[in-house]
Amino acid sequence: MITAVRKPMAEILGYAAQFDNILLLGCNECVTVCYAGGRKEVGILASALSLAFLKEGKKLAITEHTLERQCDPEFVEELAQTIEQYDAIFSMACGCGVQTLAGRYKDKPVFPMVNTQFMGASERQGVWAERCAGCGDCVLAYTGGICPVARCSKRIFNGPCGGSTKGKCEIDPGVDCAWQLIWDRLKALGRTDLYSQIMPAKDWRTAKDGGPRRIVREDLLS
Amino acid sequence: MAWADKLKSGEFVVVAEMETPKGVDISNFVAHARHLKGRVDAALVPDMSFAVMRLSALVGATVLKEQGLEPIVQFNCRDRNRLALQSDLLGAQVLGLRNIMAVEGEGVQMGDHLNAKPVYDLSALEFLEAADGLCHGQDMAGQELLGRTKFCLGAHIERWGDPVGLSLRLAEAQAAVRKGASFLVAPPVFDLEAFAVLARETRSLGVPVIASVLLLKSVGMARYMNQNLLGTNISEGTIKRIRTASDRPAECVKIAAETVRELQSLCGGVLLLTAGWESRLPEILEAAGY
Repeated sequence: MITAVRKPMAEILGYAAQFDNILLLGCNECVTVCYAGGRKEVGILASALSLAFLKEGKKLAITEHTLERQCDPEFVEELAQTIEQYDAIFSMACGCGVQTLAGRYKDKPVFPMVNTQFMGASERQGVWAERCAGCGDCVLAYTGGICPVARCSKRIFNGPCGGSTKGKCEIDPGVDCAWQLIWDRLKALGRTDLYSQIMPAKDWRTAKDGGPRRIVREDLLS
Repeated sequence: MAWADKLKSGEFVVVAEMETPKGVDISNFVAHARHLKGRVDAALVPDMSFAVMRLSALVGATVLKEQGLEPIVQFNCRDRNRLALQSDLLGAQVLGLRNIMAVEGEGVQMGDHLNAKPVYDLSALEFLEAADGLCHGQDMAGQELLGRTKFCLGAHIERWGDPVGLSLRLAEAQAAVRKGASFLVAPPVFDLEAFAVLARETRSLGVPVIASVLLLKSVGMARYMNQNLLGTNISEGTIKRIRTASDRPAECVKIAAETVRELQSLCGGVLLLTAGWESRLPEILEAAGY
């Protein structure tokens, strides 16, 4: 899923200062799962904003609402009838949701309430870690199911580098060396032959480096 | 006269672009440089333009300096992060290369290493800011330097296709000057009227605008550019002149030289681009009266 964390309150208050009436909009997908921008977090932020305004002797009308998916035009469309009454939308979705709103409601200011982080998985309650960089050409079959693009600090394809010590990365002793993990897993699988094959220099065109990406499924086009 | 002083003098400057070779044989590069000595105010060394891998611009500029030319080194932001860019800027200073021009760099999609990973850690504006910082004795991390750089910085005005595009380019040019650019290089001029608008609008920036003059090589090249390059408008009259000429390359040289002369009253100088025909540079200069 896409992970996110809420922006600092001071930044959000800076955005809100110019408005009287906002729509605080949550998303029922990824940001709900990572407790950053779902229905519950919309309620918490609305209360915090109201209190901060009251403290300053001001009033901010906040309408709380949560869409099923902010990154899907079908769900974003449901705001069409009511959007006019708000000065701005404060979106608690990831960057995809914020941009879908901005693209649909062109004359309405939209502000992000969260900092979108990465595509990750839950390690345990309250901990998420990056697992996929969306490079567009998955190599997990050759690396024991551990991604060198997302999990190696240097994104190297034939590791480990000299910064790997006792299974940890030089950037932080709390970070596992992806290539140590890859080696351990290939060993466990009896596939160290994969490690001995030198990977060619990566073709980055399939990743973000080839420019903004798009998927077009002709079979689904209406 | 050093490039920076030449710019300050307000004289019309003539610069030749000198593309480094794709390889290590610099004999032609040096031979072309020898023919330019004393005939141009500076030689601009592109930094892997159109993302084609070539000999380093820093090395090319050093070779030109050894040949007695005043080099301007281009730095693209596509291939190096801020550490490498700053490090190479320090290197430029030590090598005696004082004239630096910032470019964003064409995307790797246009070049010959399509699967490369572009960097773009900095944009051209941030690069100028960083280079200016080095001139004030400080790197981007705020660390003090052992000795300062002394650069004459320049920036590029990208192509535009309509008045909205032009206003964006003007805003960028203004920002570049604010960040320390002492000269601006405009894209190839084929339509003097359109260029005159830019020249007029940039006059208040207080730095010379150097118009590029691209040597056309053929009718096909002219047509290709009209169709594929934003804002390029090579007139049918020019295309006809090339098509009907008995000596087409000579006619192309003549056209380029005429453009140089016509630009003298419009801007601060010209940059001669020959796209691999550096051997023709002396003829263009001769025909333009230099």
